[in-house]
Amino acid sequence: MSREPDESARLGGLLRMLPAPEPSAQFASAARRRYLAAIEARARREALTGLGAALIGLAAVVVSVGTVIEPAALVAWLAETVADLARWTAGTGVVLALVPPIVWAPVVLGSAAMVLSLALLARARAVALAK
Amino acid sequence: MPTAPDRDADERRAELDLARRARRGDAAAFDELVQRFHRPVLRFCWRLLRSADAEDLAQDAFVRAFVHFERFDPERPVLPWLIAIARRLCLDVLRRRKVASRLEILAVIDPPPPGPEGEASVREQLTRLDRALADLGEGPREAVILFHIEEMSYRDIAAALEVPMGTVMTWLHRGRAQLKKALDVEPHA
Repeated sequence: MSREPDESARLGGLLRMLPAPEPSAQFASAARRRYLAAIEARARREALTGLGAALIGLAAVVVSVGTVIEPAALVAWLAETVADLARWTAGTGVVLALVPPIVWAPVVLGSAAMVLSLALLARARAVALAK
Repeated sequence: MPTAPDRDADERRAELDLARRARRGDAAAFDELVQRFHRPVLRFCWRLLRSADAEDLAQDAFVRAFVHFERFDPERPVLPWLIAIARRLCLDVLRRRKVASRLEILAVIDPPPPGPEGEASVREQLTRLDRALADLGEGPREAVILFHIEEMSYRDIAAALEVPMGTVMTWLHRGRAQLKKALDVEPHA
C-alpha cells in the first residue's frame, strides 16, 4: 500500500538533488536596473498617451465648435459677453458707493431671516408629508 | 499563537503589498520580491531552457510581472504568477530556437561532482534522471519540476501552468511513470 508514496518521495528526493545553477552575484542588481528602466519607460509612455489624448480631445472640440458656430460670430459673442460683464460690474460698484453701509445691515438680516423661515417651513412640510 | 493557515494568509498579504508597491515604482519592494523568489524562478527557467539565457529570462519575468501588475489576480499567490510569466518567456525562446537538439541541450549539464565509491550509483541515477527529465514532454516536465523540486501545491501549479488541476495531476502521473521507468533501467544495460 505504501510503496507508491515511498517511491514518489524517493523520486522527489533525487529530483531535488539534481544540479541547478545558483543565481549570479549580479542577478539582483541587473534585475533592478532593468526594472528602473521599465518603470521610466512606462512613465514616459503614460505621459505621451495622456498628451496625445488631450490633443485629440482639443482637436475634436475645435472641429465641432468650428462646424456649429462661425468663428467670427463666436468672437463677437465673446466680446459682447465681456462688455456686459464689465457694465454690470460698474453698475454694482456705483450702487454700493451710493447707498450707505447702515442701510445694508437690515436688508442682509431681513433676507437671512426670510431664507431661514422658508427653509424651516419646507422642512416642516416634508415631515408632515412623511407622517 | 498564529496557526499555519494564518501565517500563510499573512505571508500572502505581505507579498501582495510588496507587489503593489513594486508596481508603483518602489525599487526597495522590487528588490525584496527578487530576493524572495529569484531561486525558484531561475531554477524553473534553467530546467526548461538548459542554457545561460535562463538568468536573463528570469530577470525579465520579474520586470514584466511587477511593471504590468494590473493583470495580476490578487486571489493568487505571487510565485505562480511569476512562474506563469517566466514559462511564457521560456516557451517563446524555445519556439524561436525551434527546440535545439536534445544532444546539444544535454551537453550543457554540469557533470556531477566526484565523490566516494558509495555515491557512484546515486550519481548514475541522477544522470539518468536528469536526462529523463529533459526528455519529458513540456507539460509533464513543468508539473514534475514545480511539484517535486519547488514543492508547490496542485492549485498553485495549475495557476502557474494555466491549466485545470486535473491536467496537472495527469501530467504528474505521466511524468513520474516515465522517470521511474528511466530509473529502473539497469545502469549498464
